[in-house]
Amino acid sequence: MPWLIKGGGLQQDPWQICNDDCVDYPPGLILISREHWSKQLSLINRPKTGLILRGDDTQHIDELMIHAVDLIALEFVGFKDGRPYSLARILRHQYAYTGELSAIGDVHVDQLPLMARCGMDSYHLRDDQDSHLALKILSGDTLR
Amino acid sequence: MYQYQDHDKALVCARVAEFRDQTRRFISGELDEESYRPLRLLNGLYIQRHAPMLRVGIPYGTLSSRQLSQLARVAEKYDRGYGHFTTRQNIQFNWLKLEEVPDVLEMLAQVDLNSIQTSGNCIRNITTDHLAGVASDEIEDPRPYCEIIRQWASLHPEFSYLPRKFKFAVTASAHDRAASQVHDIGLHLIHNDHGEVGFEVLVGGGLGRTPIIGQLLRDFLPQKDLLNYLDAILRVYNLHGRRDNMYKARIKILVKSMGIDAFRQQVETMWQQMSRADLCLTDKRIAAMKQCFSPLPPLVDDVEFVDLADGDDGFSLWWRQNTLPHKERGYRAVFLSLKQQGMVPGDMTAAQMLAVAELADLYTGGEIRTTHRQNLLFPHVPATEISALWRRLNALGLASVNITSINDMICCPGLDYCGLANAESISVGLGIQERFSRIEKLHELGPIDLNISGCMNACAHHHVGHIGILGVDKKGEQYYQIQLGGNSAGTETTLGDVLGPSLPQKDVPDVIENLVQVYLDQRLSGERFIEAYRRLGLQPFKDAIYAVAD
Repeated sequence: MPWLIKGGGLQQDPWQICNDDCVDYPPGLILISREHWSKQLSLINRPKTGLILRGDDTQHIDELMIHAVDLIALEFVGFKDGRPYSLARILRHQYAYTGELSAIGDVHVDQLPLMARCGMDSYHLRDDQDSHLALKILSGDTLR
Repeated sequence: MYQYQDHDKALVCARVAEFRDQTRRFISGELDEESYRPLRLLNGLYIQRHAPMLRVGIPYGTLSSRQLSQLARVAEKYDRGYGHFTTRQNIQFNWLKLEEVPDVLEMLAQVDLNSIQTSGNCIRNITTDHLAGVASDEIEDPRPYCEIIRQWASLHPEFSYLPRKFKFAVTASAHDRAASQVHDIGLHLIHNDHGEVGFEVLVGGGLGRTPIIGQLLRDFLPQKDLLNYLDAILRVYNLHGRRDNMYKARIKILVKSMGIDAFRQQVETMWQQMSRADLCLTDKRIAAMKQCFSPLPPLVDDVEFVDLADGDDGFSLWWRQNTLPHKERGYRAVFLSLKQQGMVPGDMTAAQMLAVAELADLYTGGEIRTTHRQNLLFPHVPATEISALWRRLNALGLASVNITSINDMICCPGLDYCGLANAESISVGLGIQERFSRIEKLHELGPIDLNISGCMNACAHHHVGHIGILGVDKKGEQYYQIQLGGNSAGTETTLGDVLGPSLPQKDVPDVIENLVQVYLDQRLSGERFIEAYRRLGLQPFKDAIYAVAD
């Protein structure tokens, strides 16, 4: 199981990403895309469901969706694509979303402070990234 | 000028430490080039033709003597003893060693300078009128607002990975001296019908491959809403600007494709939905910021130099060409020309910087400005001290009588330094300068903005030069396209018309001389070059150059 950075520490990542063609959901915490969510309305009442939002989902998010899920994961399709930062701000401010806001995808350690300042609070690093360095960067240890 | 507070200092020092760590990881191989690139760019560091180039920010072109002295020390210790001032009021060092850049940044931080966001796809240095606080036609000094915007934009977590770079220019006069109509956002400080101060907001201007003049987004934005409104514009751009093609990623392309009305609608909606109380500018905050840029006391000892400067002696010529009146009684503003004959336009040696810093303390309260046209300015010189200052500047090679003339050219580094350039700019500029070396000739020609870019990225704003020169690569040869009639100063911004097919480098000085001759032959009494061009159109100029070849 991969690692998740949350609350200043490392923990095993309990979330499983389900592809859009998935019909047989595993038990536990699942992450699905916005398109998947829109097609599978039965998921609305399923506990432990998280929603993946990408930069181009901005026009399609709504209040119901935001407040029905247990987690929102903002996907960085490329680390230079800064749309998830704005999405985070919109979710926190316009939609008053107070749940967990996670960064997934092309997540680099050097961008974690920006993500944190935009309201993200857990991070799934890209495979080649150093999670211990990530913790140091988030705690400001590399600045001393 | 604004003095860094503890939080500003802490922020810059943390950034230096962060970049030191990132650079260490890059050099040791822990961080790959693709990941390091945007990090170094956010710190103003490019990898150029010969060496890394560091661009140091000079917010809104205001520099203290202490800062200029430190720039001189950086140039001496880490570069080859000089620096290059840019059109966006910054300074570049061209010969640094990558591993020494964190030390340079640390040295800069000691005097509250940094290179944060001087490159990369983020909000760049906020530029303004070099005559801010000096010009009698300004509504008020625009710099307090520039500083407020700088603080908002610095390390903005949401806008550090925009689709492309983002440039602001702020002015407070009807006469534009900051090229505000060719910026991503142009802010004009204005009064509304009730006498309240606010901003006219332009959006989507820019040069480069697709030159576009900014469009009116809002005719009056109250001061208190400035940051929330900018936040809304940037958020709409961040979410909707193109990311699939870097040449179509600037906000000007988004505005053009959406249409200004649809873009405005999105911004206004975003503004309504996302405005935050902490971004609302209170009167108290604005007043406190204005305190940092408080006006000078009028000098009682006012000396009128009109008679004295009426002659043909060196001082009088310089006084008329290189100095300007000041809105406060008893002062004048003095340009320091960085276009000395035979020297690279915009370059300054460390020795000159140190000497100028000393002169700034003596003659202008320690405050120096950098200008869009790549010169320096002493903003507040007591009129009684001007002749003494002139002698000192003359000795330093900084009193060339050429401000606003064709020899006061904007010139990018071109192929000599820049990894993007197609052709040399500096040699072309110097070749032209040689043709107009006589002061009498320059005087006869009057004001002509000559802008020379070494490639279509247009760092030297060739589209808005009265005469613009663009370097192109033609089968490995350096050729130059000439444009006429561009303008970014005053009230009417226009893009130049292409004269015709590009020309080989050796012909450029002759061509410019011939173009200028058309103007001299056909101008009406008192008509400036740009005015004559607007009346005559392209044809007579075109005929003078291409008729011979045909």
